[in-house]
Amino acid sequence: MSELRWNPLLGEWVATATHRQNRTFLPPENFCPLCPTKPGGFPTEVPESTYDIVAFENLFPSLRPVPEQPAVEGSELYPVRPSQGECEVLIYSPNHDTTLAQEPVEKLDKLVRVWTDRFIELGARDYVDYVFIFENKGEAIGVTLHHPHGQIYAYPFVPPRIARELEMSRAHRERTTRCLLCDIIAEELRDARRIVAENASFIACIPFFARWPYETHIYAKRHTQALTDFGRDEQRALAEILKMTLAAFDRLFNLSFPYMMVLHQRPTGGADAYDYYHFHIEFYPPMRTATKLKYLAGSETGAGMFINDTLPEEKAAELRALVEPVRWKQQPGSVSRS
Amino acid sequence: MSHEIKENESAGEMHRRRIRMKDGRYMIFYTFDDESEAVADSEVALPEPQPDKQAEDEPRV
Repeated sequence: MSELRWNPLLGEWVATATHRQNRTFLPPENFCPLCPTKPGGFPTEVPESTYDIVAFENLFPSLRPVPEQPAVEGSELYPVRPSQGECEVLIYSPNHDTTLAQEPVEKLDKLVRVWTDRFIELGARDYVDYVFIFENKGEAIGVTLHHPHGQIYAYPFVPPRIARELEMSRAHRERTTRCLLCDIIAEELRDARRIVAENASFIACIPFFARWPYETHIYAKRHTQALTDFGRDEQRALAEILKMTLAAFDRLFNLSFPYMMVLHQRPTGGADAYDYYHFHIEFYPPMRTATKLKYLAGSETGAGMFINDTLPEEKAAELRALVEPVRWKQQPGSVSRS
Repeated sequence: MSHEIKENESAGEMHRRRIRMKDGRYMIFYTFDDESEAVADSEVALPEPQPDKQAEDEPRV
């Protein structure tokens, strides 16, 4: 059973997807459905003996290209619509035990290019308004499969958090004639205390308004709206700063750092219509110390107001001290700011 | 899970090969020129691909 139900209190769609209750949950390593299928071995979801990066439709999607009919009828108060869209899984590596942080920068460069390709293809569907690329990493986040992978949701509407950013960015443009995120980048560079890493095309910082202790954002220095705006040099620079940030995360508590990683891009319809928006990536790590998690409790969940127990300036200094230069196998890498 | 090759397209240095699984879902294998050897190895064990006549061209990247 799957449908979209309208929440009139918040003006948001909620997806029901009851079949997801049956999805694979933390299987033993030798029965991982995302590993390659070895000759004579357990047939996984990937019917080949090796691969580099693979994208495929999620076996337990909350959105489908050809959706089921809703299980309930809608009304004027409670509109209901089929959950049309697309859910993809993106496997980063055939190696079950690796993570994005452990992969070489060359792999991250490939991933940036695959992300771009998926944005183009999924964004071209007539029923898709927004392509949301993300990764949930670690049991602390609630992952059900440990194999290194990300996900892509192609929504039939612009999701509320993106809509809010669009609204604030447009209002700032109308008020000042400037881009909101360009102003934020200028302020973070001027202050410098919250910068974690920097290269020619991107900065990584824990922003002034961070809600999580180690909430790190990666901002494109150039005013761009989507992955498709980047040239090859910027794609490589994005791979570099991702590598610097992810490796620093793992060094922080000497463990594989859990996080949610989300790409915020413009909606897919009418590229010129969103010139006021600015591409960026956000990481929400749930750890506030080496042994403690931050939970989304009453204030965060019930009121929407986050309480950050830490100072972004102090947490950024911790991460900045752990950033190391990135080395490419075949070409010179840029130098980190540390 | 058996499958069939639906298309095989090169897009600059990035290559994309799409298959269709028995349950109708697609799967796309991305490979890159500098790993062409590994790609060739992966295809050795596969059943003979049957191109889908209805395959459509995809945008180049």
